[in-house]
Amino acid sequence: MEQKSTVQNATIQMILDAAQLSRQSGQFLDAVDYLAAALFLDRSNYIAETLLRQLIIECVEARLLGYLGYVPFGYLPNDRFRAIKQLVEQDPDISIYDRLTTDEFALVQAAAADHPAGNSPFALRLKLALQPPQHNLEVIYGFREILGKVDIDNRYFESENLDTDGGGSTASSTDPPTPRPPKRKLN
Amino acid sequence: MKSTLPHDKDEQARPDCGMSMKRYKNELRLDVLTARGISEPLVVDDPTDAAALDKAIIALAGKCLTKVERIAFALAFYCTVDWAQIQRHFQDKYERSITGNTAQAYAERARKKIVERAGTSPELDHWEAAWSRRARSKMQQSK
Repeated sequence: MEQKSTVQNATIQMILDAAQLSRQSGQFLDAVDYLAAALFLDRSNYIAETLLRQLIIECVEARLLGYLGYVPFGYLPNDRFRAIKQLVEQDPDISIYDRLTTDEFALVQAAAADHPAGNSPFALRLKLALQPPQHNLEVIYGFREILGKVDIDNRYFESENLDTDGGGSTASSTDPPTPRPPKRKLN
Repeated sequence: MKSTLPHDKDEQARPDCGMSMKRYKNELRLDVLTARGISEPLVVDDPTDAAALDKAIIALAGKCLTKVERIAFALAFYCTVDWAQIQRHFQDKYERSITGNTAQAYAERARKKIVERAGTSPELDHWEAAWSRRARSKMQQSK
């Protein structure tokens, strides 16, 4: 493995710090840009990959509790929501989707497919979120592109949204950009 | 007088690294020194002093630049890719509409901002104090 100078390490660290700050302030797109730059310089940078993984999880989670909270996760009971969120916090290396039961997963997929915006980037984002992060810049760029294409209301990425209760309660306390679809019944 | 090139390990290990990137880095160092009123270009010939100066510059860059400036600065200062690659990276990944030497212009804007702020930067104050101490110590040892 190629050895980097301390100055090069400091340069990458400056970019990673900026990514982290952007992430913490809800500027996810900026964070992805910084991470792309860090990985452009050092393709196997573990910290950048880890941050990216966390970022993707947080984006999914933000939607889980906000925008995407309507569909598909709004169909999950609040206590399941909270339990999943807790598990994600304990071990962010495992996908949110891996934590769903088979029935829940099927429900989530069906709800996404049925959503009025199903063929929109909404569905693409969901598909992307379903994939585990790859050690591949293309995933980052795809992620950025999809995020950039969609008119996302920043309030859904604000940290306070992540601290609210499950999807149902969050959904009722926010103003959704898309209409809530008809309720589906759990199996 | 412009100094000889710096002593970063990677730069020595990569003879194909674009000379213009090294020039960017070196000129930035010297401009920063000038802004600080230090007329001692040999600072950048000492690996320890140069690395410490670079770190102070990076810390300042992390504070005073916008996103595109910060990214362009970092990619240039890292010194392993050339301007064409940086431009392609910006074009492919951030701003498809940019043309010509936009990425280089961002890096240049970054350089100017860093130099403008160099005179009052606490990061560089800290570096200069440490550098002065080292220089005094070296002088005493040589006597």
